[in-house]
Amino acid sequence: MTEIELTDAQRQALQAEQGKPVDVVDPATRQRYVLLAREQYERVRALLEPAGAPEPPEATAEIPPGILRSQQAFWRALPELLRHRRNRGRWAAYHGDEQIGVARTRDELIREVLRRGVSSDDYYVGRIEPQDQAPWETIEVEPIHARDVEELPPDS
Amino acid sequence: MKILDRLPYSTKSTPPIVVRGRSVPVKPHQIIVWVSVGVADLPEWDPRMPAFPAILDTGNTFTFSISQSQLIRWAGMRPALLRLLGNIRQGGTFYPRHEADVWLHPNAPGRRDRRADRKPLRLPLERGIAVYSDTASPPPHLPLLGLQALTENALHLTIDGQRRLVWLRTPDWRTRLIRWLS
Repeated sequence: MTEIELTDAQRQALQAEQGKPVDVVDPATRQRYVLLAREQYERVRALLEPAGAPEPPEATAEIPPGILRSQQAFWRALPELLRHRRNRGRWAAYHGDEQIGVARTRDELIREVLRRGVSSDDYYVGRIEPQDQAPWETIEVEPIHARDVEELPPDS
Repeated sequence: MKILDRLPYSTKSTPPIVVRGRSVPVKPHQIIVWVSVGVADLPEWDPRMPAFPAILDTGNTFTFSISQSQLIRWAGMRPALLRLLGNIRQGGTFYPRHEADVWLHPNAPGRRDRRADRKPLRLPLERGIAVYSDTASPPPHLPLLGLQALTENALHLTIDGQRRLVWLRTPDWRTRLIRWLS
């Protein structure tokens, strides 16, 4: 966020308003602004920012780099894999950028991964189906669960 | 193949389920299934894997969600043993997605108990399972088996609201016939 220093007149206006927002006008454009304390801005910030703004990355668990690289390789290859109808519903395994194979079951691929001695943090097995979200992306889950809904007695 | 066969649910409160000595309440309209959780590279079903109840929640948009303490105490697994695939975000909070398979146990026909003489069905879950921290608010009292797990595995779910019974089966000639008739 750009930082601009207050002028003396603005500081005096803020002090006079005792913490309330102050109207500001740009004399050149007549555009109006509101000057408010940082604490007040933080309270309404979520309403002003566009929906879907990225969350701070530290809130998420970090995918091991080898798995992430393999997920990215699978995601890049998925359109081509989907072009072949016989692949639909099958599974594909990636070790980094290398394709380990395509098989009818995931078990076959995991056996092959283990046979090659690939580390558990270095591969990904994905299903060859049209998908609208990359394997590493955060999945939004509906927060309300039936189990949490209590039936309340009617107001007396 | 039938997995759930006339599994009953109730519109009233039913007796709680006891899991590892702890009594877990069951609310009206909750469909209770029995599941196990295992690592994805397990070659076949291991009968030593513990089974525990979960709610079949078609309103849940993910595959399977479980709290960390349930995963440790009920499934006998530590999250650190399961590969990390990404995250989910629920109510503004992030929870990790770990690679794991859910094994869904058949029920004794017409009863809520699991049928011990049949192998469970493995549900491979490409996006993994979500593991809630134990400080999640509100903490889940039972794990949730969401609609995505059924969809990913092409399962056929029938709920008879009149008789309060549930069927779940893998695709076969019956499901094709039902689809053709509907």
